[in-house]
Amino acid sequence: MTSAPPAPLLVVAETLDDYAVSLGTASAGRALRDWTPVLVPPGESLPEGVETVPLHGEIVSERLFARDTWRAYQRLWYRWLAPRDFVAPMRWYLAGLAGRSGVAVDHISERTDLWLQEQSALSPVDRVAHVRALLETGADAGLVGGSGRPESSLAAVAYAAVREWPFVWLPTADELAEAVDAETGAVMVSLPSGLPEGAAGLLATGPEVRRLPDSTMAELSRLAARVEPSESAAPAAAGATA
Amino acid sequence: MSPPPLADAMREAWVAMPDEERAELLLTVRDQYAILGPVRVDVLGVPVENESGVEMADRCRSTVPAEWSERELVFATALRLWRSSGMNFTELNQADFGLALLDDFFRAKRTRYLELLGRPDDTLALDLLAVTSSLTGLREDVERGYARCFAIDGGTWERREHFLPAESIAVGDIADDYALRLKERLGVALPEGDAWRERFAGLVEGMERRGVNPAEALATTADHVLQDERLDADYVVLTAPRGVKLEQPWTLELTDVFSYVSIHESCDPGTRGVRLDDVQIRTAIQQRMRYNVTCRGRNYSPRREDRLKAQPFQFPDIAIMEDAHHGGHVASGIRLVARAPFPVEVPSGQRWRGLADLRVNRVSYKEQDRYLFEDLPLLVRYSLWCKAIAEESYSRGLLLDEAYCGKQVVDRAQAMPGRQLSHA
Repeated sequence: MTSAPPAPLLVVAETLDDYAVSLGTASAGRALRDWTPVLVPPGESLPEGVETVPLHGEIVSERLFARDTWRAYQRLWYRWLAPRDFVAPMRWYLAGLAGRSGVAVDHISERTDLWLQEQSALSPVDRVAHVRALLETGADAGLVGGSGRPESSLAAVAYAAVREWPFVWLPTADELAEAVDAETGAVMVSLPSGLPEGAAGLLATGPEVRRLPDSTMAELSRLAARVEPSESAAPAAAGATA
Repeated sequence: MSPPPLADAMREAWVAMPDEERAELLLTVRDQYAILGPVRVDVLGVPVENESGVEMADRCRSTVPAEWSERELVFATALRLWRSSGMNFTELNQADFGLALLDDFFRAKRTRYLELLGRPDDTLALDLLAVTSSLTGLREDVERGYARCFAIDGGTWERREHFLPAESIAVGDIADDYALRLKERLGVALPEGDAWRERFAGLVEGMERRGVNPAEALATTADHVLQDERLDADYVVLTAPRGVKLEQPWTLELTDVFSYVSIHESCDPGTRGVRLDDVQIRTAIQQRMRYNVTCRGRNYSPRREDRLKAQPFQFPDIAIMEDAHHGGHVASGIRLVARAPFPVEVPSGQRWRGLADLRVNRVSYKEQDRYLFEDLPLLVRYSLWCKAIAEESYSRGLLLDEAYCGKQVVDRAQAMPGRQLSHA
């Protein structure tokens, strides 16, 4: 019998932007088993006994990551935020994956854009296979899928990155259902509030499909980081299996 | 590794374009790019600004698409998509261009237009060039029911497109207190009636009969805007051509432009860190506005060299951080602004943009003092009344009083200048 791996150190970001940048940085460094960002806005707190360190202290100390890497992801985040006031979740997930794959920080933009172009020409099932190949993981790993409003899918990116599961964001629930239907392992989906057309079928199809709860981004960041024992809190629609 | 699908398709589209057509297109977009306001973008992670962008466009013109680097392909394609979509390039300021990002941006814009029009969204079925070439027509359809406007961050030069429902402008909703102010100040009543343009035409006609220069109606409107608590402005600035050279706006000089600045009596710019005093502020703003008009008029010049010195046209907007990169704005306290430029239609039938506008300014950095899109309909409403006054003056051959076209500041509290009419 093997003991559970030690819980990662939680790095507290106070803003969504800092949280997202930290997530990209940790993904790129393959460091999410060692440290995981969590969003704790000013005035909120984590449960007692949870060990945390503030993000900005780590940026200064460079104990967990190189400051230049954090800056590179910060720059990408704000550049990609610029034209539409949100970063597409698939783009951010792939940016982390690019760093994780050893792409130098000044080529992450180019590589991410190239992967997104490749993804756009693939079927939903092939997009999952594409990400699995980039992640170098087999079909037995779970899948995290998102659809609907892309702004709301950052938590799903975090959930996937922390577990080293593949993530795909697809424009419609029907496309997401197509991807999920081909899965044999666990699936976590992120869907907007109020089930969109096609989502009920989606939740009925997969072998083990759960849904991220409707919650604040801060709460979802804790769920993604396994701060609270709430991972079983997800079945959210008739037909879903937990 | 094979090229990604979108890059492959775009390069093929460039290769398929006849050499002459491609060279002409690149020259056109290069020239348009050269006169843009400040541009600051990345292309696949590498910064590009106005000057370096022009250099890259020139390199693309001097080589064939098959030889373009990935970065050159992306930048040339961005210029082409900008041209075909008729969008405002600075909407992409601060962005990191890649073909996937451009694809996402333009598709989202089309989806938004279709949403405003209540039409089904077929965007996914189109390729990128078809998406962008559809945008101008769709935008024109949207603008039948909405006024296009922008939010601008003067610190980063970012801008976001927004549409105001046309009915929100309610241009026929002329308040009694405004009509009363016109009557008291001008000695001429705004005629009653339902047709707002005819009412203002009647006002100018009455002023002509009474021998009052129509510039007084414009200045009175600016003074009224300053007192409108809904806009809560510290400064109001109104600018329009005087009435000469209307057939050739590229020949306009500073003294051909009416500009009037009104500063609220409760605003003491000196206590808010503004270096210039009231008279200096008014002089500086008025002269700058006249200069802007002469620059924008050059957009219509038949000479390319003149057009390259032009300033781009503007849309109604709300702006923050207006003094971040502008020494003149620092000196005169231009910080949080709402602007309503209005095109002028002149007797010869032409319609000119860039020559007239009404704007309000708050000498503040506070977030709660920022203008909101909800403030724009009222400002646009006032601007349309100014437009009606100016155009009626032009059609009657009346020149706006030259007292408002020079460096001196008109003190309307002391005397009403320019009662003498002058004709073109």
